[in-house]
Amino acid sequence: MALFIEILISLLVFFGAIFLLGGAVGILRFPDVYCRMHALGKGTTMGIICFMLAAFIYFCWSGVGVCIMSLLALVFISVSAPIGSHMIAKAAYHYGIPLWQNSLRDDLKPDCEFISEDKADF
Amino acid sequence: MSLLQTLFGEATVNPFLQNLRILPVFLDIAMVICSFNLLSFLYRVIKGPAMADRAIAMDSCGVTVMSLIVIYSIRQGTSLYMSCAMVIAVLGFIGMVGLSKYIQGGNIVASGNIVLNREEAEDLQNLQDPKVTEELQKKAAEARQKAAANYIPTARHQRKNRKRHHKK
Repeated sequence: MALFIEILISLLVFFGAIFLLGGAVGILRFPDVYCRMHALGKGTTMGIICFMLAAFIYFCWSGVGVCIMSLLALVFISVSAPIGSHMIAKAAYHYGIPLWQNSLRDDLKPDCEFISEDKADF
Repeated sequence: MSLLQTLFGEATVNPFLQNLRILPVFLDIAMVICSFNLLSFLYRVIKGPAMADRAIAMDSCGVTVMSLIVIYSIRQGTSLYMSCAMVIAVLGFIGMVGLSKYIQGGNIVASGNIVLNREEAEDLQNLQDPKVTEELQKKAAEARQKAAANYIPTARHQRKNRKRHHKK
């Protein structure tokens, strides 16, 4: 049983780091603000959920006690990180940062008043 | 011999963690991966072309520091550091909201697209620049009509009008 819990905590920590690594590779490689935000929103949320679950299980198991703060941080991050990245994406679109050249559809376009001189590739 | 133990000596030894075999190895691996993530986020903060890139990269830096705090507190065996992680989460969210409002306040990107409010549409119509094509001016007129339909006078606009009327 102890070995099982240890393997569970190790896998949670490892997968949290792997999710964060996915976000980092996405922010290094993707061509656009919105694509980077798409990678980061998922990656950081899932990574911090895995880390906080690992910390909660470890502190319950090792005799420190039930750590409510980690569950609180888990809930808060999983609520606030999508809201924050959505707000940044909306603000970037209203600021006028162009989409990637090969992106297929733009659903926000009829709602906003834009004059696009050229499709600059950011 | 784990990584922190070699760095800081005996100060970070957790007696519960010393009996385990698998967990310290994975904690080291996760710490190395998280430091690589921090480096890549810092690269995007420095190089990122738009300000939104820098904003989301700094927020992800905060999340990565939170995960490093979690690793460190597991290694130390205390749950006291979790409040630090909670504070970093709250501050990161507030910073994201403030930065998004700040980004939305800007009006013109120098080389790209233009977001118009009413005064800038007027200014653009009065502009005698051969670079501004006729199509652009037509679009500016449309935007001006659309903005005049639902126009709410702001404080800045009122100040500008007062200056314009009371100058002479």
